[in-house]
Amino acid sequence: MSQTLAASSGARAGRAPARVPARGPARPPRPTLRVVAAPVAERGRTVFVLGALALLVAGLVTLLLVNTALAQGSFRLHDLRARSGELADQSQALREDIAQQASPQRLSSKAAALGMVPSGSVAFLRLSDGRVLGVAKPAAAPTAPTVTASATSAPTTGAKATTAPTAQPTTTR
Amino acid sequence: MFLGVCVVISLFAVQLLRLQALDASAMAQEALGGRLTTVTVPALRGAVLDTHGVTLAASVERWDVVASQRVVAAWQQFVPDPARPGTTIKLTLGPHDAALLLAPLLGQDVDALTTKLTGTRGYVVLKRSVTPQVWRAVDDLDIGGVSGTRTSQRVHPSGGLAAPITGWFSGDNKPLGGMETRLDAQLTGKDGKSTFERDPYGRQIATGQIAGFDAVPGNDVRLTIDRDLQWKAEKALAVQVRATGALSGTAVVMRVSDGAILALANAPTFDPNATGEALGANLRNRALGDIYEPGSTGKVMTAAAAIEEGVVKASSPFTVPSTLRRAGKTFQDSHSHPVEHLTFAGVLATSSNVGTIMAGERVPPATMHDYLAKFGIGRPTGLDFPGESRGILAPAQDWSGTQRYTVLFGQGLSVNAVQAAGVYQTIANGGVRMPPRLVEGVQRVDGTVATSPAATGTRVVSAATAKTVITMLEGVVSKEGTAPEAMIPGYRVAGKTGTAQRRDDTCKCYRGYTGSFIGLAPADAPQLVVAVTLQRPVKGYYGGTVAAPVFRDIMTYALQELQIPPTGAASPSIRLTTDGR
Repeated sequence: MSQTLAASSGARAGRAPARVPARGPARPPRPTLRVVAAPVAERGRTVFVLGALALLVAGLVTLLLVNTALAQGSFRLHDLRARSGELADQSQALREDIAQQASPQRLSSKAAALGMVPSGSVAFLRLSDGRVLGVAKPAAAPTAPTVTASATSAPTTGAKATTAPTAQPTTTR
Repeated sequence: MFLGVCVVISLFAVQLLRLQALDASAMAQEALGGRLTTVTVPALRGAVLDTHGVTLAASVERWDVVASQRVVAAWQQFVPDPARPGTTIKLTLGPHDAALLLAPLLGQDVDALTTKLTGTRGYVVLKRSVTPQVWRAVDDLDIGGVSGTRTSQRVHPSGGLAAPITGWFSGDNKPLGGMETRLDAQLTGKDGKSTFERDPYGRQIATGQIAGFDAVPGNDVRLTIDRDLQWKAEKALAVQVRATGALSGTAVVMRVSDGAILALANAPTFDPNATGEALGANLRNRALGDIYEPGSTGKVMTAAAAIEEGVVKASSPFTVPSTLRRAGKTFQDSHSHPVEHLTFAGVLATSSNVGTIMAGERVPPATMHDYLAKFGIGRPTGLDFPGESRGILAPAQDWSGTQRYTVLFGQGLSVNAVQAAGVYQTIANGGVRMPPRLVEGVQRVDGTVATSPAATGTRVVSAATAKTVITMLEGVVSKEGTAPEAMIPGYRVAGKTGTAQRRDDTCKCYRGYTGSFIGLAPADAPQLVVAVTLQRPVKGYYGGTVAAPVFRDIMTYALQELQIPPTGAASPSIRLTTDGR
């Protein structure tokens, strides 16, 4: 049945163009039909969905990576801070030590241990006239202690006043 | 069945709605509160520096190691099992094990530490103020119940040097004296705050909230003090105070041109790192806080006033007996002597009280008072130093009959050591008094110093008068004067001895002496003034014998350190005696 249908319609189709002009010019010619491709929109949507998915995944992965990196950075920050603190402490301890070693007390006792003595006098050479100012002589080892009291030089008259309090000062020197 | 499922699902939904929508913010807040932590970032106190930027006092981080005895008693630790690798066993440790580990770190005896760690107290201080490194090592031991508290400590790298200037602290770190108190506002920093989310290990959560502000450290302050000179002055003074059996002593080194105090030594002093052990009486700056009657060093003011007023000249002749009766009282010279024929310069060189009265009484009391006041006597120094005493200078109309004469030779008025040095600074600076300075300025972060504007001086006497007085003072530092011990080879030195009767507050009478020497060098172009004062020395007491040697020691060192060359000019020969015409 379908064969006969196809054959008759095929025959009709084959014959039709020849017959149309004969039947009357009033009817406009039918547009030719052709097979069109599947709608582009259909394919586009798939791509879009896939793209969006990919983007989402990529975004999530990136977020994950960034977060991981941040967390790692945070751990590293923590460790480095600890290290920095440690080094700062060390530096502070060393500075304190240097300051102590550089103190005048320490230096003078070390110099004394090396057999050095404080210089009693100093001389300057004036360039303008070549004159030596001050007294240039080698330093002598001081008799310890450097500053001594002349205990014996206190006159006895004064000692009297030391023991006897007075109401009003009438003398001084 | 279906209905049951519906009910359960509905309950779930309601609970979800409650959690996510209604209580959401409260819950989130609660969770955040668990993670959020606020840490105070303590600001370090600024340092006190010397004139070259050398640290005199600075703050450093320290830790107090504390323990809870209860927690230490139950201290457990998981250690790798040696028999079965990869597994751990639980060890129950106690105070003794903790003590064994801590003892070498804290430098304490194991038994003593064990005792400290044993008991039921929740808070025991094991050791105060350990260095951060020691604390780290202790922290790494991970002993349950042992913790640390961050503190700061004021350290003085040069030991007790300049302690009476820099100041001291109470037990709870409040400044109690010296520059620490005076400059507290500058030195104190502003604590910072940091708020952040943290994980159970205390690490900061990167994406969490962070808020807060940084700590602002205090400013460093520079003083005019020269550390090395300060050390020399303190050492020379301390040796002499011991040797003479003096109660105390002070030494002031002042720059002539601007009144800057380069050294301010006190003896006895105290260790700022152990103020708890210091004697309360020593926790002070005697050079500014203690006042005394200057005695003969005050005669320089009488001389300057008399010369400025034109009533006397350096060469004016005086016939000086051993005693002089004034206001119903007999004034005498320190040594009994036959009638002498001296110039006014000779009066000063031999420190004659009688001669000084004869010259000084030519100036009316009110005028004399004004000169003394202009020299800074009885006036605040302007240093505004905590515990400073301005001394005593009674108004002229209140002077008693004898006081009118005693002030002429420096008794009946009181000064502190800096004021006494200031008088000589005035003379050395051509008669212009510069207020003393102790603070150079505030040091900025880049190391530069923001100095306060230079103070203007006050003219007290004319330059000519000042020059005459200095020439006369050179006569003191001579074989004929009272202070040959103050001579420095190569330099021209001018100065004055003082051996004042000392007001003793314990008996409200005069007992013992104040021996002093104040001098300046080089005499013909003065750059430095050094004032040495010893209170109640008993082995020798004359200013020329007890104080002048200390002056020589300090001045010699100062001239060398500051590289001040001698001028090379010869001392003018000055007549001290007349032929008694």
